[in-house]
Amino acid sequence: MDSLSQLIANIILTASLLLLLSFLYKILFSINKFSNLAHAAIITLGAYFVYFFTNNLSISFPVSVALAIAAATLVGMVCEVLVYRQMRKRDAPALAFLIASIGLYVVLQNSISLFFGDGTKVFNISEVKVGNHIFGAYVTTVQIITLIVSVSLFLSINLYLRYTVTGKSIRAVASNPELCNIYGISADKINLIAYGIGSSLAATAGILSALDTHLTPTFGFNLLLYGVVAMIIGGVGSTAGLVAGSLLVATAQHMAAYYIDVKWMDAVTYLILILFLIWKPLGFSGKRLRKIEV
Amino acid sequence: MKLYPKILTKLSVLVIVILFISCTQTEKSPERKGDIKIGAIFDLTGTLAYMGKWSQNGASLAIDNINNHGGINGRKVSLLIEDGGSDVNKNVSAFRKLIDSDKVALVIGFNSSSAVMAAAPIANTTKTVLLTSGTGSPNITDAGDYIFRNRLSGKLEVDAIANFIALKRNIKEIGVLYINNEYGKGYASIFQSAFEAHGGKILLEEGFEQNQTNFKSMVRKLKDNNIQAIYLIAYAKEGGILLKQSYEQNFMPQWFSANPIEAPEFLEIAGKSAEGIIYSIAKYDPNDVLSKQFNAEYKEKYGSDSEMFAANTYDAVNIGVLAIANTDGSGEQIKTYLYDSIKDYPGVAGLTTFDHNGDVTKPAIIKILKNGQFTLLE
Repeated sequence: MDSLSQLIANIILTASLLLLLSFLYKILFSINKFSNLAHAAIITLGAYFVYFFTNNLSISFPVSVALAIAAATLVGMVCEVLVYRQMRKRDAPALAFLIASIGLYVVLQNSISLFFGDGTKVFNISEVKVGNHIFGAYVTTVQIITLIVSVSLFLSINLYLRYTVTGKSIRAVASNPELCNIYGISADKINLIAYGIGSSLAATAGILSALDTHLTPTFGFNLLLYGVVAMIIGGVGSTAGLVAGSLLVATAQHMAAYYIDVKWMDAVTYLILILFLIWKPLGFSGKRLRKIEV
Repeated sequence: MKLYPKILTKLSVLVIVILFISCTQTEKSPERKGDIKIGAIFDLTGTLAYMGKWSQNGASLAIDNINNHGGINGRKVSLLIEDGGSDVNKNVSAFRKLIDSDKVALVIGFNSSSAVMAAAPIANTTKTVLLTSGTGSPNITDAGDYIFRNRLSGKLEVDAIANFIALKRNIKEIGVLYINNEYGKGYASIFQSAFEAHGGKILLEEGFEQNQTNFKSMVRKLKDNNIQAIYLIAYAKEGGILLKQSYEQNFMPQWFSANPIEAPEFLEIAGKSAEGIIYSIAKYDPNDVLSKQFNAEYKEKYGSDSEMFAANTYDAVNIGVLAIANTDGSGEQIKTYLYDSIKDYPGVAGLTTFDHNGDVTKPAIIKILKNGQFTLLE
């Protein structure tokens, strides 16, 4: 019984972080129509900024988190203005965007390595201690915070996209940027806002993950990859699908670790991805993104 | 008018040929008379960066010392350092680059056993001597004639800990967790045979991947199987995370481990969850007679005490240079020299004599993490 509740707790915790990652990726993907890999670096940057503010500038942890999210968001928006916007102006093909995002990722990741070194870092805000015993499962405070923050961000940003004017504009631009321009919605401005939201979510996800484990200059990439898998399995077209996708990936990973062998966690994740791509390429929701080219 | 293009092409061909000849000449001439080149591969980025950095420090110190004393026969020694990136493919392409484009006959270093095993066939076919100073897998022993290792083989290290667990601690049942690569699998198989030879039983054996971060469900599985003692074969990062996550789930068996956990990074990640972990490692004391001066120089240059990786790499460079100085510098001759003429070489990491497998025998010791300090147990 205890082991079952521990497994369920592990699954829910992993799924909540995956949900956040797949959600931010979906926002960017639906508006950009290309795989923005540079966002892996924004995830990493968020966590490293926190490390920098707390360790090098001795700012208190909560303030550092706020500053770090702001700084990482700024970097994300600068990337959009300086790179992607210029490319859109020149009508660059989608593949060029993908290559550019890989290039940006390499540049950002190497700058992190340059400033912080390649070693593994940890935040060290609290001592390692036995987790809280809840329903027979051990859950650390950081993990509870991860769950609450991820789920509430997911819900609130969903509401924002659905019911506010800016949110609706983001969805409109995602659906048809040319038509939006005709109706007087500036696609550039909306893109920038979407990047801001995506980047701040990315930074948050990075910080949450680093709190639970550690930081290395490349940890964002693995995280984002899981998020992408969850997004593809869930289906790009639907938000509820993301929840199902994240839960499925997390369940598969932890079941594999418990019943087979922990080294199969990744293999099982990608096996599910392959199965979905063959038999259900549009994911759980089965909805296609409208007007998707490439 | 029609003549010009023809003359132009001829002229340009001529210019290119001249440029080519002059280039190859300027490239060749310093090779003949200038620096003696030695290749080195360290994992300076990625999971193994902490060991790579130590190895690089040791190697650079050795090269500086040699060149400050006038080099070999008036020639300076230059170390061509490549980053292996904690990745087998990068290690192998760096190895190929050193052989094909830099034309070195000797490559030292390496921090990952998988990389040595992957580079070994290349070393043997191209007759390049590979002298590793930082890898432990027992399989390296049989990797070929051109593969040497001047730190102790993992076999001796694993035998020491298996003896300790089974005979001194009288533990007969244990779980084994290993990182799924050459180092982890090599250590795991040696451990199994050594431990079973003492009448012990392996209750459970699990592998995990390099860079894995989530061990939570595996920890639960260990707990459900009621495992009291675990031999953990990991690097600092993965080992640290595993111990932390196990402590967080209130699972605290007696942990045993291998040398790569002796690193500040491990302590930082695992915190107090690592307290009491027992591991075996090559005997190295920075205050020993042989290593005292080396350690003083090391401390002056890098600000911390030296450890096993730096010391062994320091020795590897010196042994390599010795071999080149006493031969014509070809791979074949270096190999013969290492087998025949290196007898009880007094290095900073102990005496070095290569056996017929290119391995050395050095003592292993058992250490424990006590009050946040790696201290000698026996």
